[in-house]
Amino acid sequence: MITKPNAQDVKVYECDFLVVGGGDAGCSAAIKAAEEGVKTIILEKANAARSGHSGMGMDHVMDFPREGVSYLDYVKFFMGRHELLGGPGALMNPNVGYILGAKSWWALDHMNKWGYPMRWEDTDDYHWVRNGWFGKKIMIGVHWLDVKPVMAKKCKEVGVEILNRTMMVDLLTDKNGKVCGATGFNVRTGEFCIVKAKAVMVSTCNLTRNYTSETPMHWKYKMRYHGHPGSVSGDGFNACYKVGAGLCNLDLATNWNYRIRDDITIPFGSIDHGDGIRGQWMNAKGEAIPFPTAKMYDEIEKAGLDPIYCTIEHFNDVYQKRNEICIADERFVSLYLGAQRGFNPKTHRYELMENRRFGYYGLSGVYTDENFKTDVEGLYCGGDTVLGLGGCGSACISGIIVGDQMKEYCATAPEPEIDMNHVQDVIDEVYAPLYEEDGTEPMEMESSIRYINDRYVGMHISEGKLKEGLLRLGSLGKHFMPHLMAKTPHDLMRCIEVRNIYDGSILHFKACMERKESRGNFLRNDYPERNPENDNHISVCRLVDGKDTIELMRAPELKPEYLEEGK
Amino acid sequence: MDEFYGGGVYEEENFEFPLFKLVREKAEELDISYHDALVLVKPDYVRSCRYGDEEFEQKSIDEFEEISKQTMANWEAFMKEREGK
Ligand SMILES: Cc1cc2nc3c(=O)[nH]c(=O)nc-3n(C[C@H](O)[C@H](O)[C@H](O)COP(=O)(O)OP(=O)(O)OC[C@H]3O[C@@H](n4cnc5c(N)ncnc54)[C@H](O)[C@@H]3O)c2cc1C
Repeated sequence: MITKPNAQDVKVYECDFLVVGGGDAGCSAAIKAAEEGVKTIILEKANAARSGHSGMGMDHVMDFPREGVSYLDYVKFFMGRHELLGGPGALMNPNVGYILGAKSWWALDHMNKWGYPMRWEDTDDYHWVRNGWFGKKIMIGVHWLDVKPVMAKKCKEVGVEILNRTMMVDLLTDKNGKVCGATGFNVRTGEFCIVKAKAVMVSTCNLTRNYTSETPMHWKYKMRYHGHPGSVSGDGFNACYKVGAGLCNLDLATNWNYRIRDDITIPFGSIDHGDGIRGQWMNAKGEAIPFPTAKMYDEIEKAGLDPIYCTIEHFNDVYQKRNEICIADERFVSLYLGAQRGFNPKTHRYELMENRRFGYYGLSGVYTDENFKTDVEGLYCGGDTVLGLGGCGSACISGIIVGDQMKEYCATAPEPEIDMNHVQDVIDEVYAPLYEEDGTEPMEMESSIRYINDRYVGMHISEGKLKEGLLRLGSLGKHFMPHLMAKTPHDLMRCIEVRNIYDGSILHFKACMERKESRGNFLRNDYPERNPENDNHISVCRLVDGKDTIELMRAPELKPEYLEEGK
Repeated sequence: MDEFYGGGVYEEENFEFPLFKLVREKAEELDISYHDALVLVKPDYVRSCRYGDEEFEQKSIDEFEEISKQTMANWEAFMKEREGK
């Protein structure tokens, strides 16, 4: 039986550097900092040896500029990925893109040293994979099975303390607003804790659970996202927002067009880059079409030619085999399911998921400078939590860059001072659902929130729908949110997650309302034209004096020294 | 209706990915998990995929580029027709 503790009685951990989320970015940052002698703790909601996106699969790390690709080319590529979804124009800090390219080789040395499994079988070389954009081999093939176990083991070897099954509830700030730790909650035992730190890096990835997942689901699997682990409830987004960091492009959630065939979803990976050969898309009549953007998808629907399919019938035998290796790394389970369902991709087609949004990938995130420092003192972000980042390469590189700064930063940072009254407030909120007898189950609430996002933002946005959706969210917030109920620590975790999903959804709606134009995959029926004045602008949500604010901020220019060095 | 019922067009009786067949057989032979079996059988499979054979890759890519060009041309024609409507 769990009961609500008093703030004075809870366990307090002390460290210099706290990493929230032990994924690719979190483990990389922690290892680097600990190697430099910085006392480091990871708070991990699941188990760092298999959690996060990389725990589900991956088959390449991007990108290591070579073969004539300059750092400036790389910045263009990095930003170009987002332009497809929300462009034209810069939608992130280009200096972040630059530094990821410029520091990639330095970071690769670290990853190698730590045993990140990138050597191609028993050769001593990398398997360079072609990046579809450049047609150049700048990505490295990875054998996924060992990635997370290797990283978690290395963390322990260098003395990082990993608090597995302990989720961050909120960040803590001192009287000057500097981040000085976090509150944590053990999702198995129900114990509450405080972690004091001189610096914190949040790397919990993004928010996705506000939308329904991409595959048609059996009712039992409400949490199944093939392209994301179940941990993506936007905990980090919300925590950073609450302490004053800028949360960007929340209006520009992605539609990602996964290939689905019942359970056999294949996300992006080399099947898409295909070592240079891609899947072939086709309409319902079997006529070849290019990979569809949201607008193109619309045209096909209007012409009555959906659903859209993807096939790899044109792959020769060797590429069919390469595809199998890709599936084994990306989603091993799909090889098994393929056998069970009799699905042969050589002769059958994958259906593309419907034209709709689901979650945030790459395009949205917390605003940082190129050192991955946020606007809030003591707070850094890494990996997909950062505006513009998406992928394991950028996750590792950003983490290593943050970890590298910690020795110097922590040497002069003030000792953390915790406001225990605030901690008690957090405790009261976390444990309240235990005392609710006849309330709402968190999953019921989450399903309602997802429905509202799907229905009232969806792919085709209008003012009326947004208003209606906000009203409905407001009503959930007023009547049901205060009555979330939980009996176990696991349920309590779900309640905290659903709070974050809810808060993220409200911001999503508000940000969509502010953007009175259509751009990229952001399609407003009532404002069908793009407003060129908004090119090169990032939408930023920020909490100011307890109020949500949203502004369009001009994306910074690439620094002159990078322009010079990066040629 | 019968042709749709049961989704037969999408199913191939006894289909198994060749790589998965190797995995399953190895797992059964050594009484180990599929995961552990994959680690054992994958290296040989990878070796048979002609990675690093630049000439072969280029030829495969060139063939694909031809298909892509045709696809783009078809798409442009489709859009023209739509705009005309
Ligand atoms: C199936 C699949 C295949 C992919 N393939 C590739 C690929 O081939 N190449 C590529 O570049 N990218 C690929 N990606 C994307 C890539 O894996 C991710 O972009 C990258 O791993 C993100 O790293 P991260 O550290 O930012 O987040 P994550 O790896 O998701 O780590 C976040 C961690 O934070 C933890 N967490 C969340 N909330 C809390 C909380 N409140 N408190 C404590 N801990 C918390 C989570 O449990 C998790 O461990 C793939 C993704 C998937 C799902």
